[in-house]
Amino acid sequence: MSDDVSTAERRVPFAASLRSKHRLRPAELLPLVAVAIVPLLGSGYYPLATQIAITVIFGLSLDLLVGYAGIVTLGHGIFFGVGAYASGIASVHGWGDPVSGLFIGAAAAAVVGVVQGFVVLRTARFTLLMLTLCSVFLVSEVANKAGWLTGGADGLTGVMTGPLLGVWTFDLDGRTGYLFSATVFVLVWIGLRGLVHAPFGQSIMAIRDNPGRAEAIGMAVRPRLLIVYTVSAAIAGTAGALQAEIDQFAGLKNVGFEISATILVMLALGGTGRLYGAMAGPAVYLIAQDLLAKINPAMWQLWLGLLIVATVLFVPGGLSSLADVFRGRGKR
Amino acid sequence: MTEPVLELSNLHMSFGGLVVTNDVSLSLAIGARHALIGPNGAGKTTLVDQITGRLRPLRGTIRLAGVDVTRLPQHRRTRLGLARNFQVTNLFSSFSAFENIALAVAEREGRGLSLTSMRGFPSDVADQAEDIARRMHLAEVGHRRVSDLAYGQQRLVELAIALALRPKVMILDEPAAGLPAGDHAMILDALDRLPIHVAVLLIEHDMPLVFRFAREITVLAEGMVIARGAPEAIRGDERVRTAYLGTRS
Repeated sequence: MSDDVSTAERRVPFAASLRSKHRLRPAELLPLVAVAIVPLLGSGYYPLATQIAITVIFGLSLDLLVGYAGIVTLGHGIFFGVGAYASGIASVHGWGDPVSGLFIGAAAAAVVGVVQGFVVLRTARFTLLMLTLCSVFLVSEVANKAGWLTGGADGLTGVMTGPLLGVWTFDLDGRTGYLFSATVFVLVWIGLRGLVHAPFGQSIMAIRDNPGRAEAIGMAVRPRLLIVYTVSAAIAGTAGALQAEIDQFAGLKNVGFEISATILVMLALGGTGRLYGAMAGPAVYLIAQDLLAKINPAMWQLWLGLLIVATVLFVPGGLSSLADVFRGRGKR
Repeated sequence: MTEPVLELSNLHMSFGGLVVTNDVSLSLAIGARHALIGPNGAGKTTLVDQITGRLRPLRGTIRLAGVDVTRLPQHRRTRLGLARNFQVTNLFSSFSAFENIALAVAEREGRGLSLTSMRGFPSDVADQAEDIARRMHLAEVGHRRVSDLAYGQQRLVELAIALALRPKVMILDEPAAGLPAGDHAMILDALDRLPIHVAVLLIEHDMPLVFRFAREITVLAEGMVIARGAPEAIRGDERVRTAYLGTRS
């Protein structure tokens, strides 16, 4: 048996095996199917689907750090919040165009990411985790106190999101908002998929595996991590900007510890390091939350908690690791 | 004489009051096959760490191909042509053997930040990696994850990664460490096939391996160079024997 395997291996050149490892698998198109199905369900599902799309973008940005670069952070909400406030503030001052608003959010979050990353990436593991935690408290306190800019505890009021590309207004049933969010999600997904399968993405995973060795083959480890950190911050900022545009509001709930921890829980639920966990986790979490809140408005958090505990116990790799189980079974 | 490709001058290093490197000088010419030996605690690994940039000496200079690298970080030294292996196998564990080598090839070519290929590595990088693997007799197991390889094969992957960097100087820190004596032939065979122009500094405990490989030997004891010369001279050196066997007092 094992002899068969090794002769088969011998015949496959490395370049060919790379092609098959990195090829687009049919199952990877499932998110596209999901995106296309939502409009068929009727307008009642737009708000939930929009929220899932935004959260998935945020989750993807976190997976790039946690799953690919091996940087576990409890402060990723900073970038979501900075993106939300930046596009919200731009809108309050008369710049309500939704597309350029995303770039404003992304740019603001990237700037904060470079600065904060420069400091926290000098450390690793537990120290890094604590520093990200401190950062998130710091930033949410700034957002709380700088009322002249952020509206403080009341949040940013007067955000007006203009029509998309000057044509489609953000209507009450949420169709425009959904299509916009879904489009941004698909673009982010395509971009990130390209990044993690490129030599750059491979080198990031190499650093995750073994930073000392990465340095010894000539990688400037810290600058490279800072690049990834900044990219991730920019994507999180995009998600935050999208949230502010859809809600026409930005507030402290967009920036604090709670959103940072929740997205990490969602990612753990879905599984890290494969992009699709960052889609499955938030989707399952938010759908379960929606259903449970309808069934049992008082105690939904308990049931959601049990769901997560059960996942961690029985599927430690996260929901997306079930794909491996099915694939393995299919071969046998 | 051509200029040495690696030159250590009067290196000094201490941890608190403990002097671990005491005025060590050493130079390697192109194509050198130099071994650094010494009893446990002689400061061999500390010296390696200073050469590769994990530690910074308190005094003295390190020149690599004519460039003063004493204050340069590790990755810059690698790009200037310094490659090393690790005493304890130290690989990118979630990647295959081929991919480990390809990562090194991509970095050497400065394509580590590239976004142009979406197949992990561009095909010319993959071909080079496969070629190096073949030279190290790893082609048949190249598709396996390195964590699934036999220990001896992992040691060969270490060497292959170093080779992939096309170094001017290779620091081999106990390439046979942890291997049963029967597998030493495999490592020796690989060492024999290193490119002849590469200067190799071998740090090793296994004396038969040292005497077969090295053309010059430096002996380190308590942070100091106590002898240097051709293998035959070292074999008969009284001070070396004392350092290894201890003094009777």
